[in-house]
Amino acid sequence: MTLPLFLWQSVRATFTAPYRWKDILIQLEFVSWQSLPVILFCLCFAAIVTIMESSFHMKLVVQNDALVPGFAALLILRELGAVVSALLLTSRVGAGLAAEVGSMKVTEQIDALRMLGIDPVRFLVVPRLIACTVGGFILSIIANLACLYAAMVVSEIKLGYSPGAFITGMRAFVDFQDLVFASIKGATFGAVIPLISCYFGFRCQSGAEGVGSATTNSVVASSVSIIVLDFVLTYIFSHFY
Amino acid sequence: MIAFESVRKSFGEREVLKGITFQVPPGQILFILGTSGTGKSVLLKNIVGLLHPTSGRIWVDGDDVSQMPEEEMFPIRRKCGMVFQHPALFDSLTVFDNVAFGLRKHYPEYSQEQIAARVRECLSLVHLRPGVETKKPQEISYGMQKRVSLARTVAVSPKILLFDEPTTGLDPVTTNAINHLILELSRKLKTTSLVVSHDMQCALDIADHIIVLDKGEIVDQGSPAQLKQSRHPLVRDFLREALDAEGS
Ligand SMILES: Nc1ncnc2c1ncn2[C@@H]1O[C@H](COP(=O)(O)OP(=O)(O)O)[C@@H](O)[C@H]1O
Ligand SMILES: [Mg+2]
Repeated sequence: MTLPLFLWQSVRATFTAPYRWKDILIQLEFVSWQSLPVILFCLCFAAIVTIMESSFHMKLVVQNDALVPGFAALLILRELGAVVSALLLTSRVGAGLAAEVGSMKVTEQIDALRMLGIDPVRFLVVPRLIACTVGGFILSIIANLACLYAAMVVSEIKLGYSPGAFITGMRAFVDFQDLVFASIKGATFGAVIPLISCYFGFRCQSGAEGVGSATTNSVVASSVSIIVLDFVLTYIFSHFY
Repeated sequence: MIAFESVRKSFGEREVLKGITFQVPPGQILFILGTSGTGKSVLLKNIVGLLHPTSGRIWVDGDDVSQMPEEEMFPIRRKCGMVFQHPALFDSLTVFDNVAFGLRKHYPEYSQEQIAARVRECLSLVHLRPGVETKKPQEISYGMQKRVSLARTVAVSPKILLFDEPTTGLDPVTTNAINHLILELSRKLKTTSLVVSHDMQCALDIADHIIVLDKGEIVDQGSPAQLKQSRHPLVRDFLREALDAEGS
């Protein structure tokens, strides 16, 4: 099965009934709720580093860090929030998915599904595609807000900006539209992860090393796609500012 | 009736089946013998459209399935049960639900009790005791998984049964029971069976016709009596194994 054919079958099955609601909800819980701790943890550190680094360099160059809240918020909403969450999702969800589908392929479970007249794309890909797209959307909103909050707290503790000053500084640079664009990125990256992971899983060669390399390759391919898509989306969004 | 007409199958540059021709009349048992990697599993998968031949034709009860699209395959797959080489059980379901899966799908009119009764019946056919139904596939041994997989396939009463090494890795008692089951299904229900196996002794005991495959080609075929007279070195090797096993 070639990639375009696989993508077409997945998208077609996603937009046609029947849906396996129970499976979708289980996957959604796995993708979003269970990923939340690690994403929040990492993004808080990313926020701290962003604030401290930009303040250090701004003080060095322009002897003043008044623009830090604005720049940090811009960086977080436009890039950090969505991309870091997506890369974490790739390693947590995408790798597992490629291994799961790959081992189903190798142990002939996919063939067994087809024998029972069940379309493996509809059965395996669609619930995960829906869950990851919705999950990516929700996670990127939560992750961005949490990251901004962390940045605000650090600015107060380390740089002495009150929350009010931080928000005023931030509002000069970003606006609600940025959060909307960030969540569109989140949903897009969320959709990319299961599509690529399942594709590599379906193409898995037999043997234990087959599953291993399907997993590794899917993580690499998902990460590269996310970075490239991030560029494409940023370019498209730039026409709206 | 299953018929192959000069079937070839390649994966990229590599040709795995090199022109296979044979027929299996209804109700008969065909054994396919051969060493590992000669294309036995690939041959079986071509019958039910899990793979499609590169050239040649495959007939299942008069339908040409060789290039049949996936959407039209279902009636053929409904008719053919396949026992895979791997147990291929669904990891997330219990043994009971694995066996009931196809029943629920193919017989929506069945009540819960009817399904439960059929599941128990099929599990006992493969010598599995009550108590395994509630276990997950990972919690039972490989041999038991293979037997559950057999029960799952037999449960929906297919007219044609394809067995990919059903007894490899099983103990002699269970092996006997499964060979007996294949024979009984064929004689009582007139099921057509294709059995991929390494076990020449068993082939000689229950097959109507035997095919010996080597590197994607049929090197010899015939009834058990004919095959015993074969001069082909690979067939002689298989026969020697069988005789040794009988002698010891
Ligand atoms: N889907 C596939 N893609 C590429 N090669 C395959 C595929 N399935 C089987 N093969 C190759 O075909 C050959 C025959 O495999 P198989 O039919 O499984 O052998 P066996 O006789 O042991 O069942 C093997 O060398 C295997 O690597
Ligand atoms: Mg095989």
